[in-house]
Amino acid sequence: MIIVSLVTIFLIIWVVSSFTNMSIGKRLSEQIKQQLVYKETDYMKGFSRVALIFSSHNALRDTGKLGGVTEISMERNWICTDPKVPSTDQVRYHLSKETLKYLNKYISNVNNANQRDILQYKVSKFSCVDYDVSQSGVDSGTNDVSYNIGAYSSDIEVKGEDGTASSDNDVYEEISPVRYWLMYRKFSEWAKRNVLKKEVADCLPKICDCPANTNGGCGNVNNCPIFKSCVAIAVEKAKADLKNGFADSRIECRSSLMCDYTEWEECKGSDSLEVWKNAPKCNRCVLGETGPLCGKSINLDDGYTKSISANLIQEKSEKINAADRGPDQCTGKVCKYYRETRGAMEATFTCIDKKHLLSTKEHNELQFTVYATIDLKKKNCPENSAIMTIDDCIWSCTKWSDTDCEDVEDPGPADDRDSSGKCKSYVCIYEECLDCDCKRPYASGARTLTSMPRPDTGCRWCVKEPGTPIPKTTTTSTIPPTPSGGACWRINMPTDCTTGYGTTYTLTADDITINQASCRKEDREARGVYDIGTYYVCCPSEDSKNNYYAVKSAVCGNSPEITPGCEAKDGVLFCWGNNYRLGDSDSMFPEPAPGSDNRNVYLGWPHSDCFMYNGKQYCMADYSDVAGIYFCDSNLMFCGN
Amino acid sequence: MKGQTKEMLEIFLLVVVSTIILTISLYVISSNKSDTEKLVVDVYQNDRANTALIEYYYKKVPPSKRNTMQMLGDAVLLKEKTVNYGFGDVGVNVSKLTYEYLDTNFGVDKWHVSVPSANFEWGYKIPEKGRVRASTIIIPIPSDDGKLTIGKLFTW
Repeated sequence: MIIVSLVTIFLIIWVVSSFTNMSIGKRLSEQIKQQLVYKETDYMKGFSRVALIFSSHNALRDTGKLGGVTEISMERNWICTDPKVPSTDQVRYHLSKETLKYLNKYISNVNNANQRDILQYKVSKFSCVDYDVSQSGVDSGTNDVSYNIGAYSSDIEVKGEDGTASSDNDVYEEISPVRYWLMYRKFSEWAKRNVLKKEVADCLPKICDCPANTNGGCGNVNNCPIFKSCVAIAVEKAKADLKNGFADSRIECRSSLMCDYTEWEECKGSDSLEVWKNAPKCNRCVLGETGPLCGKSINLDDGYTKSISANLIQEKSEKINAADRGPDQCTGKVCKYYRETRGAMEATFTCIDKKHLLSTKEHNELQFTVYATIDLKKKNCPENSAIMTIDDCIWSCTKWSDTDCEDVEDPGPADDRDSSGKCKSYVCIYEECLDCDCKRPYASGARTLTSMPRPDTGCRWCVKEPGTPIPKTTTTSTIPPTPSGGACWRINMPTDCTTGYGTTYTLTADDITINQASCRKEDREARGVYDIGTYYVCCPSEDSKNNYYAVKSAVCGNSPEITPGCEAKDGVLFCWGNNYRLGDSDSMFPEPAPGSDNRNVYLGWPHSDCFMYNGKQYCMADYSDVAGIYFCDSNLMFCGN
Repeated sequence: MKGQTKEMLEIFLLVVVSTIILTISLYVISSNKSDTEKLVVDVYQNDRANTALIEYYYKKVPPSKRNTMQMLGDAVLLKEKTVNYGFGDVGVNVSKLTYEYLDTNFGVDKWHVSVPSANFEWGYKIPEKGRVRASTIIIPIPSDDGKLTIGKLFTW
């Protein structure tokens, strides 16, 4: 009986103990699984956060190089003559869209991986990414180095052995250190300053010196080199303004002139600077399209893409028929000549942050590139303005009636003119015969105009008496005898040698001898060769330069440009070419000089075969034609001509 | 006499049976208790590993404030233990960061991280005996197509 009782007690204890332990074990097991599920949601949220960081960095890379947009495969214009800065919300839209695209790729892949131990999970795709930045915050610099970003509307579902748990997968993360919004802010400020427009506007008068036949300068055709050069400098100045805005040596900027185009039209234009609408070329203005942010509408006043196809409608002046004007509009009037100069250009501006790199597969330097287009026009060419006397008005009024030039009252000083309005003494400036400066005294001698106007322009030549002007059509290569009276030889230099070097003729006029005169302006003037429009004269003095004889054969014999080259010696790179020399108009190359000791040296002509550099003699016997040497210090990889 | 002997035998038998029953009961109880303790240890270890991994996703390292998992992803991409983040943050040693972090969480000689795709084997030698827990690490990698790789955290 006792034994039976003991066995019964034992069985009761055993059953109770087992039940209790099973219960504890089961509870613990459930707790573990529950904990795993909860942890798994946290874990997946952590994954989503890091995926969001990488996705955002990809978006910064992609949108940065297109000026804050993604949907177009070209850089956004931040300047279409006037500033067209995208709003913060517009940039947010593109960033969000791009980030969402990349983020959902990570989510797809993590679902496919599905390797988290005993649990099965499924993460749904995000439907919204938003950058928590505002215009005021960006403008104040709050987001210069960091910003917050949120990703929403994703869920996590975790399946365990004992059931399923789900949670939202919304994540919010601070991205740092990235200077994307600093770039945006500085580019915005730069675009609003619009130094480029001012600088390009200053280039418009250069178009006056360009040929009338303007067929465009885009691509390989450059119809107006002087405008192109000027615009290139304008782009450099705008780039310098951009770089200075950052005031950070870790941000490097570069620019590139993409296109330039010019036109001019006589007797047309406004005194004020105007936008050249419908420029046939260099007229790109791409702003990109934007849409609403997640749950937020953006008011876009300029969110559109303008077609880049050129509108070839060209502005034409309305010609006034001479017959409509009447037979004599000239009496008592003078004509003023001018042109409307039109210039268009496109350029890209890029800044790269070297301080903080992105977490991207490649191109991990944050690059911000914007496009700028400037299309302007203005009444210009004051050097061609002419206030003609009545006699001259025969010519100019013909021009006037054809082209609708202004007719204005003669403003010339009365005391220098006779009763008929003629200048008391003619003083002709240049052969263009477009000016009559009665106030300017002459050094000596009387000047008269040739009786017959030039057939091409209607101008008359100014000669000094006595003397017989040599007809312009003279083609002899023989240098004519020295003209009497201290007159000058007109040197008919073709315009294509204005940037070349070296003439090869010798010309004697009075006591002036020119040997190997350069076509370069500074060299010409150093030798008494004066620039009078497209021609040069060799004169004893500045004052007498307007009295000359033409010698067509005395052309600018442009010495062949020697092929530039470089050679390394003793760790210093020597580059040579006949454009390397010191001169007032010669800028050091490159500018600003990046090396510590790079400089130009003009060896003279002829020059010694050897020269000193840093106290050491270098001989360049092989380069006897070299007029200039450019030294690049040892820290440079190359020089340029 | 015969009755006394029988009674003694019964008492002996009672003692023997009681002893056996008690011993078995104690064994059963202690056995169940041991399983529970093991389960509790498992829960603890699992929780620690998961917490450490989750924190690794969230943790940011001063002064750059970059995310540790972000830096690990960059290191895996480059297959380099040190990542250059530009002039502002030259040469972040991700390997060193991981050692410091996991040493603090699990103790020295108590963990091992393996990322085969980058040939990363960090931490200490995995013991041949004893209980070793392996946790999966999903590492996102900078890419245009959402690439990720799988690593393992071993703790013991």
